[in-house]
Amino acid sequence: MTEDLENRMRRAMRKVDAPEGLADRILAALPPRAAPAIVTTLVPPPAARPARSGWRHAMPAALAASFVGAILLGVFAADQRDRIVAARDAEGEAASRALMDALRVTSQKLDLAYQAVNPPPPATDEENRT
Amino acid sequence: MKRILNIHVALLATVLVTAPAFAQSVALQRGLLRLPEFARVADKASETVNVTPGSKLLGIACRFLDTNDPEEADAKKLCTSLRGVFVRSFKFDEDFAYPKSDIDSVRRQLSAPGWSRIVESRSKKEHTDVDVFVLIENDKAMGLAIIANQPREFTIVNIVGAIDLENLHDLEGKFGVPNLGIESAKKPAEKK
Repeated sequence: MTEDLENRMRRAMRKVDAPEGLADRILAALPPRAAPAIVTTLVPPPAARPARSGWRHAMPAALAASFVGAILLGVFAADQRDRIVAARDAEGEAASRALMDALRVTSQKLDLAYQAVNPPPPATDEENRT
Repeated sequence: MKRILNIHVALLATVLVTAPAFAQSVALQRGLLRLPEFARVADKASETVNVTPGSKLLGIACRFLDTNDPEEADAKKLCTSLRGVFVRSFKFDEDFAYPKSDIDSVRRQLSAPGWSRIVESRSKKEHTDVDVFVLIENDKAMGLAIIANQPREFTIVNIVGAIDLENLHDLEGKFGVPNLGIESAKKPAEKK
């Protein structure tokens, strides 16, 4: 019984040659071959990595340097402005002193002219006695 | 013909551009005396006052005068309309150590039209000459000149600009300015 079953299975599972042109038909039935996708890696090559870490430090350094530069520029501009104001004040004060001197000299000479035009009256006898 | 027209247009444009500057320059020159350098005189002098504030410096000087000080407040009123105050004053340790020719050259400039001598004083006894001149234009004093020479001192004052004689009057008793009997041209009109 078991031998009969085995024989039948052996017959069923015997090697059979494929029909003529089967492989060609299967290949023809397959869909067209898709082009492979191009994948670019975003990971930089290992050699570039040290440069990126340097740039990371350069940005804050540049910001700090420009901040310090801006402060120094502001201090310099304020100092220059103070100097200009001080120089202008000194010039103005010197000019006003010169003007007052000029007006004093003018008044002295006008006084001289006045005395020349209007000489003091001669002293009276009574004033001479006192 | 077209070229001649172009030249005329160019000349007209030049005149139009330069005329205001020329007029301003003429206005500044009016009442301005050519004062000698007096370099040699300054070497001999024991005391020198040389004041030359032009219009720009005079404007700055006016702004810096302290209005709380009555003397400076009166000076401020006077100087706002001025274009220049020029003073050359020298004192010497000996008599007549200065050349009179320089002073005469200034005095000659005051014989130009417009200048009127309001004070002339010659004292042979004291060897003192004082002249006060005023430049009158359109009934307004536009300049003042004082030439005073004494044996050991000489002074030339030239004030340029519209001099309000009322303000000059206000300075009396403050700078020692006496009443010279200078009447403002405005006064007779005000009486009407």
